Amino acid sequence: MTAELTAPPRDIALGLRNLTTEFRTHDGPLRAVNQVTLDVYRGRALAIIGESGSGKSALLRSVLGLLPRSAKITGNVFLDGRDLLAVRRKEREAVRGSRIGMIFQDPLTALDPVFTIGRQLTETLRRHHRLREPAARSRALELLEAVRIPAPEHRFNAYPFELSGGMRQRVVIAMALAGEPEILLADEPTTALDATVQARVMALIASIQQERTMAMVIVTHDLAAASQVADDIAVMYAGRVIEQGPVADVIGSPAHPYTRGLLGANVQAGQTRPPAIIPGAPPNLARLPPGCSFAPRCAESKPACWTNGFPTARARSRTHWAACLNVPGPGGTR
Amino acid sequence: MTRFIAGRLLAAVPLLVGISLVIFVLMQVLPGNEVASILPPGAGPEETAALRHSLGLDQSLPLRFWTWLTNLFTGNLGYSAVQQRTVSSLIAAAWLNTAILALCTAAFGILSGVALGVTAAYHRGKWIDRLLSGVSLTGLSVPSFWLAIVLLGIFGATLRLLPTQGTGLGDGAGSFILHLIMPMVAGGLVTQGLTAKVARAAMIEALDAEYVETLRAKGLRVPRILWHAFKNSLNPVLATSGLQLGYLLGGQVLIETIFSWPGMGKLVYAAIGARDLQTVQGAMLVIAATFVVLNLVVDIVQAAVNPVLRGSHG
Repeated sequence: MTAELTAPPRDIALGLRNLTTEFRTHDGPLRAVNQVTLDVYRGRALAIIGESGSGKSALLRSVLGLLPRSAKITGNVFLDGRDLLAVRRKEREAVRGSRIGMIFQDPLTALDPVFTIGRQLTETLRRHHRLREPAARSRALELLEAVRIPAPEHRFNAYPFELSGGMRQRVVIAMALAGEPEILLADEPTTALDATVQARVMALIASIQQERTMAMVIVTHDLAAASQVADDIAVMYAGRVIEQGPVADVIGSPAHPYTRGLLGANVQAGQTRPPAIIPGAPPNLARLPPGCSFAPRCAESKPACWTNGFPTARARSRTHWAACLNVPGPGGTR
Repeated sequence: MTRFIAGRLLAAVPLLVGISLVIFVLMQVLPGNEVASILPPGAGPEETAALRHSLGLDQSLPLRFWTWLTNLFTGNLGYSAVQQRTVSSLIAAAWLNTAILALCTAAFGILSGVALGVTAAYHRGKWIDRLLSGVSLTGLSVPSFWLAIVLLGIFGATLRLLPTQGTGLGDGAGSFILHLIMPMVAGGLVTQGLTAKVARAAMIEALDAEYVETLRAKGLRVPRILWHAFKNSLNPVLATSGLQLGYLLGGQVLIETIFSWPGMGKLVYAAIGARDLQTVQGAMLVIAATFVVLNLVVDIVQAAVNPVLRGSHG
């Protein structure tokens, strides 16, 4: 299932083809990531939206190879023409931090509690660049300034527990940038932060991405943040990408019923009626229904949705597609 | 950090005073007549009373405690009528011998235990983990005195490879090392087993922590990541090590007796048998004080390693 995007060719920083990640469970094999095909373009940000269990976090970890050995990963992850899944482990690991940087969700647990943040920064710098301690220190201070931490010299010798959540997350961002990667992966970077701090950290990430023209994949379930930060959106459900397109198109005219449900469930400030929920619950990934995984919860499902295997991608426009039998293409069906 | 240390030092003083009181009271409760073992048999009541007076035994209990306590501050631990020497001179030599054996045994046990535990944790679940865990469990379960006798029998008596008694300190480093091997191994296997257990569990927990994922994502290599995890696992390891060292510094009666190692264990054991209460009292206090100081040092090292433990900070 490959959607042929006939968009004007841009540089593809990261190309995922039929990426599948399978775990063995008591209930049988479980595909946390199921035949995902995505392109991440240089200098553009892709937001991946989905519920918990949709596979979005597993997707990021599959790209960097951070999953346990029991996870079976198949497909291709193209970085600069090289398939990361086909090279040796050492080459794959060399990519971490230097070509692809990652920001994690919970700053409280992402940092090692018994090392100062200065140390955690300089060790990353020295891993990726040949630097002596004084040079590493001044670079670390520059990074702390870049993520807008006040009084960086003072904070350099601080331990993680001495910093607030927002500041810790800024340190995590600084660490991800230390190796000067061209691609940034962010796994719900603001979800664990206070509401007041979320917007500022998100804005920081956006500005850094644009200043350094990095390609970014940001996983989030905050649609508002996604629409501000991202250029493109991919919607995931039950391990698959079910819709993808530019931000304005996906949010303005969502093609997939699930996406419409997500947008409808979004609570607006000042709204008085209860939020519109999507009935039912996400499926057990080890026991998926035949046909479309969303069919059991879909108000628009037809009998065909249950039978013909998972729907193939249908183009809504040149850059916008959805995997749904109900999508009319620009020139009719199929 | 200095405030932390000062606070701990201050707290140690009342602790030691309390311990002295307990020891003193326990000594008074011991059955047996202190004076009878010193006097020749057949001594009359006058000699008994005279000796009791000269030893200060006819004073009231609180007064005797107070005298003893204040004497401690001048380094006077009493006089052993049995051995005809000051208690402090007896203890000084014995303590040094015990300390040497204890430090070497602890170093052997702790270092090998940590190596076993960390390796087992890194290869958790595989055969090497099972092997190493089995080895440390065996060392933990085997009675040290039995092992001491067996080693003595094989290497000392039968094969005549190693010396069977004394410290060998007077004959140079080589002789000392030969004398050290058997008591060190016999006494250290328990420490090794305990430390390995704790190190393995702590290391596994550290390796499962979320920051390990960040470390991998940063591109750090495996040795560096292991160092991070190890530093996080040190807390329980340091605590157990401190306890083990404290126990060893108290003098291992069995090991010291079997190998004729002239340390605190042997001293106290002999003194109890001879009803040399002054020596027993002084020795027990020294052992207790060593333990308190050691715990203090362990606390300080733990706080140095793990900043979260330092108390009020930013």
